[in-house]
Amino acid sequence: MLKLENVKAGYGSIEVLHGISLEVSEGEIVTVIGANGAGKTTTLSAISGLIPLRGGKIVTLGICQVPEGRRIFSRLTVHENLKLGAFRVRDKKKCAQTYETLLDFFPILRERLNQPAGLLSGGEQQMLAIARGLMSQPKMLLLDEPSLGLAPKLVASIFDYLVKINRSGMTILLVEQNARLALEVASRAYVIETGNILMKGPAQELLHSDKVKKAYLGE
Amino acid sequence: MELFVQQLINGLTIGTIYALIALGYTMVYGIIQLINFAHGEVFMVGAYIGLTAITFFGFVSGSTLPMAMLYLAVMLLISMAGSGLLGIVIDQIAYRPIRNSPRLVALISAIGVSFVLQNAVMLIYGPQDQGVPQIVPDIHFIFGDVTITLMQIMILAVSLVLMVFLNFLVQHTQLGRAMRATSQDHKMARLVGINVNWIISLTFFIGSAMAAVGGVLFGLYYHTVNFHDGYLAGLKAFTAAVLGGIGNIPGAMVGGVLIGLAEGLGAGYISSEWKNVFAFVILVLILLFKPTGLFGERVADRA
Ligand SMILES: Nc1ncnc2c1ncn2[C@@H]1O[C@H](COP(=O)(O)OP(=O)(O)OP(=O)(O)O)[C@@H](O)[C@H]1O
Ligand SMILES: [Mg+2]
Repeated sequence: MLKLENVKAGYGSIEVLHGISLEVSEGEIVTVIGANGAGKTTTLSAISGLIPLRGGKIVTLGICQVPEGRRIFSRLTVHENLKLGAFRVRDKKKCAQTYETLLDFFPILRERLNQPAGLLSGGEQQMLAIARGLMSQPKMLLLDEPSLGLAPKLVASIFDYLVKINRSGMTILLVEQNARLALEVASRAYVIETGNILMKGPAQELLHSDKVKKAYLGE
Repeated sequence: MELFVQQLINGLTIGTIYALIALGYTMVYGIIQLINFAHGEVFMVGAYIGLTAITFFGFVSGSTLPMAMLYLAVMLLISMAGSGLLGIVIDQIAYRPIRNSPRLVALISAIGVSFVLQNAVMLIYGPQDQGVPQIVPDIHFIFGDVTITLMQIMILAVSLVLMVFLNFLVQHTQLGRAMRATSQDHKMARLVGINVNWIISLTFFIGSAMAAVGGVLFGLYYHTVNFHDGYLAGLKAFTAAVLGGIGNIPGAMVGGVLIGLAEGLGAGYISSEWKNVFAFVILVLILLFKPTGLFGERVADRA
């Protein structure tokens, strides 16, 4: 579904990713955890083609990125944000179906359809960002720190949604600093540090490894 | 009272022309936060393209009204297409290569483009005023002491139709949504699959085409065009865009009309020799007291 082989990328003269390899298969939730500045967002940018590769290879299929900080179009309405999510979708009928399904899934958005998206609360904005991503009918969702800036209760609810979305068949690559939650919902995980993959394995295993506990779970 | 109504009509007429030009300033600013100071020249070139088009098609004055309308439509369409393309070319040559440079660089680039366009037109057509034939029949509707001409009605009607169309495009179509999304966040726009460079070109095209309509109508209204005309009209339209809140499309429309009205009423009640001063007094006042303009966006929410 997604495969990175020895990917190198960076900005200007600085190389940030020094050879990242990772893989996500259909139906999985895979998480990439790491500290500030480890290169998580850069990895997603490389996957989405926002920055050029300097080496290695990426194979993708029907991905859609929900970026860090949500980046909803705040002056556009909720409805307009969703419509733009499907900007590349040509099949109008399918698009209308997805739209209805998503509004059933996130009822709060239905109540706010004609409000400027900037007026939504942080949690609602994150739901909108995810729903907008799903409007493009991707095979796989790339999420960059969906927990960013949200109260713990809201984070839990967003993660519940992610699990539900995954159960309905969506493959998910989840990038997080909130390592504990990410490892709890994921099946497999990668730990990234200064542009290198440091560890990888089943999420439960990493959750209980001393190294991860110490460095990322604050135990 | 008659004077008031008369000046209102005159001001409204010229104001809608300023509004058409102001749209280009505000749309381009909305998308790439750049004041395209060469935009006044695009307006001027638009007037010349229109003039060249009817000369080419051999307009004979004294045509019937339907013929006149046909000529007007041809003039407008050719001028819109030509100036629209010119707008795209200006962006490609003068602005795109310096997209991430400080604003001053773009300003200097714009001044360069202005010089090139003015001098090109002067070389081709000569420095003297060019007469524009009377295409729209010279019909006056007289109500007591107040006169409104058919030309004025045409100007108001054409502008109104275009502005309603533009508003519809921007507010209610997927393309318009894409333009507004791009103006907020280029990177996110790319992530949802919008071709941002294409949207920028489209914005230059539409803004320039609107200015071209302003140019054609301006030429027909005053019966003459000159290669210098873009400077003053451009500055006034820029003032209109700032007055309405730069980046705000309905704001530019309202701003243009207000500047026109101020000019009309100022000319009628204070002095017509001071006609060109009123717009700039307004510009100074807005910059001093309300730099965001009447409908200005909160600058803070620009990501
Ligand atoms: N646009 C950019 N230009 C130059 N350097 C950048 C840019 N974006 C990120 N970097 C640098 O690349 C490195 C990795 O950044 P990245 O955003 O990928 O980290 P991250 O793991 O997503 O961190 P965070 O958890 O804070 O979001 C950092 O050193 C950062 O300073
Ligand atoms: Mg990041």
